[in-house]
Amino acid sequence: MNIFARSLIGLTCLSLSMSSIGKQFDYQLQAKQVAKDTYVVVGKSESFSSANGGNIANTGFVVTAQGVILFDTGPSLRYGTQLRTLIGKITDQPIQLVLNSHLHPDHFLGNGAFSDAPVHSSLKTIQQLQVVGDDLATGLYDLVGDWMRDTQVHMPTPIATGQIYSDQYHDIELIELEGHSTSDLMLYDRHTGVLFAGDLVFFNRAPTTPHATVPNWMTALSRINQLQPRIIVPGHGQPTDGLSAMQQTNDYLIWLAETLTDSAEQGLHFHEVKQLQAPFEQMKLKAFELERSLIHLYRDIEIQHLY
Amino acid sequence: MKSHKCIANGFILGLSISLTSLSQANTNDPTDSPMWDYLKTKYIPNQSYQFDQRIIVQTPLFAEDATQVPITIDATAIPNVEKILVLADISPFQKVLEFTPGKFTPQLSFSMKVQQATAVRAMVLTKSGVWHVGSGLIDASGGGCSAPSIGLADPAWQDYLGEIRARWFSANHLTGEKQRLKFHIIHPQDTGLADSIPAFFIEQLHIDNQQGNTIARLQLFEPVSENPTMTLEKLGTTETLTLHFRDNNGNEFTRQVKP
Ligand SMILES: [Zn+2]
Repeated sequence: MNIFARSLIGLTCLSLSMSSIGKQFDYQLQAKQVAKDTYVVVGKSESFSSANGGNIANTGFVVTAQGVILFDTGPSLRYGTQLRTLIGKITDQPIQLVLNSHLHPDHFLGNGAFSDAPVHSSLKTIQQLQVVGDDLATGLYDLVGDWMRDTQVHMPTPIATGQIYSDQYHDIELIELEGHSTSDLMLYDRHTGVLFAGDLVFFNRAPTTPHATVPNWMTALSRINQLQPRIIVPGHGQPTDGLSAMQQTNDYLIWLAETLTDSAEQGLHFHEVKQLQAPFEQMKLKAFELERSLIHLYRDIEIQHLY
Repeated sequence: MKSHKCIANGFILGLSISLTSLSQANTNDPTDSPMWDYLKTKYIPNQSYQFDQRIIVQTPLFAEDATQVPITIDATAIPNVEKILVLADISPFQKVLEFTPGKFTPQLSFSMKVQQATAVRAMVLTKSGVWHVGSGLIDASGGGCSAPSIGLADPAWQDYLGEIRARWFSANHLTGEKQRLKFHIIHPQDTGLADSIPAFFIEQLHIDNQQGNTIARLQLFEPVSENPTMTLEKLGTTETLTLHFRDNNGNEFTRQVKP
């Protein structure tokens, strides 16, 4: 097969060959307990592919006396369904509340598996999903294929921030910040000290920037710093004790902002800047995400450095 | 995504290691694009050409934003370049731009729109009348998790139509021994394909020196991205130049660039 034909039909080839590996599209989800009643389902530190079915982001849940509070639902209906089965193996409690952290498709397209429960996000996220939700779902379908079968945008309804649950074991609040997207919802349990930070925090996986405003993102990270959570569950990457995941995300954003500004001041073009290496040894997908971030962010910075 | 990366890397590698086979005319399309025969018949009928791997066509790994795909073309290894015609094999508009470098070096960076995966050609005509063809590939299937320009389009662009920004960047350790000119103009570059929006795009740019002589020309076509930013290079010193843009509605936009 020649290169050109492969580039045209590469996706088809991949989805054919991977569907057999996928074993009936089983995401093989596993819950990892990070604190009392508190679980994380860690996604792969990869980009979307028909091999991983879009399972690249974390979901998590807290089992309370009133029911399960779920933070994000994954990339597809199949994921949502398998996540619900996994939760059912851990607790008999019903699903009390489902939250969507932000508009990105790897975080909310499993909503359809929870349509009998209240599914909420911020108002801003809903407004964005009304505009781009279907396109994001279609885009993911193109990238991961049949894993997405029957997945539809299941619209969340708005929820106010602030305390949503408290008893002697848990004191849970919702905090809305912005920077990774224009609305990033976090779930924080003051009692256990676990912060579900959504995509405001990445760990050992390069942050993504398709809807990012980097200065706002850094402000959001300083808010996280003030909270002093005991454990941070990032949107992508392993949960960490203490603040290291937040610090790594912050260091990366500083590096990215400085690199783009310096490059624009030198007059560099895209294909020169994309060669630069982020100095984070453990971080996956650095070159890939830098190239994407250049598309999202560099053009405006380039123009600002002209007269 | 990984497989796409491999294809692109392999392709670039191929460019850099196969310099030996250049002396004899090579008419085998390195991209094996089904459109090449059509392209050559339409754009360079009965003219002599060869695929030439000395011409570097840099493309992204994938089109994260299909409306802004950055391309860098470098034909400085080809002596006596008259002009560079950039074509996209699979596109409603195959002609992307035509660059007559004049006093500039035969290389440029810009962004273009793509409809789907395509080969991009840098057709370099030498003063002796031979076409040297460089090729690159754009994989339009990537991206995902993004709808970059949604909500970012400035509804008030009319107020800024034709606003030009520009700057000379002196030679430095990153840009090499050449002086670099980067410029940007606000223009919608509408192709005429979208419903009820007529074609409206920059057609011509000429760059004049202080004596009023044109020292480089660019002809732009529909695929050049909205609000184009372009980078050109020049040996010698920076100098005061004037950029003259003209769009298909006859609007003219002018801007002087000082060192
Ligand atoms: Zn995200």
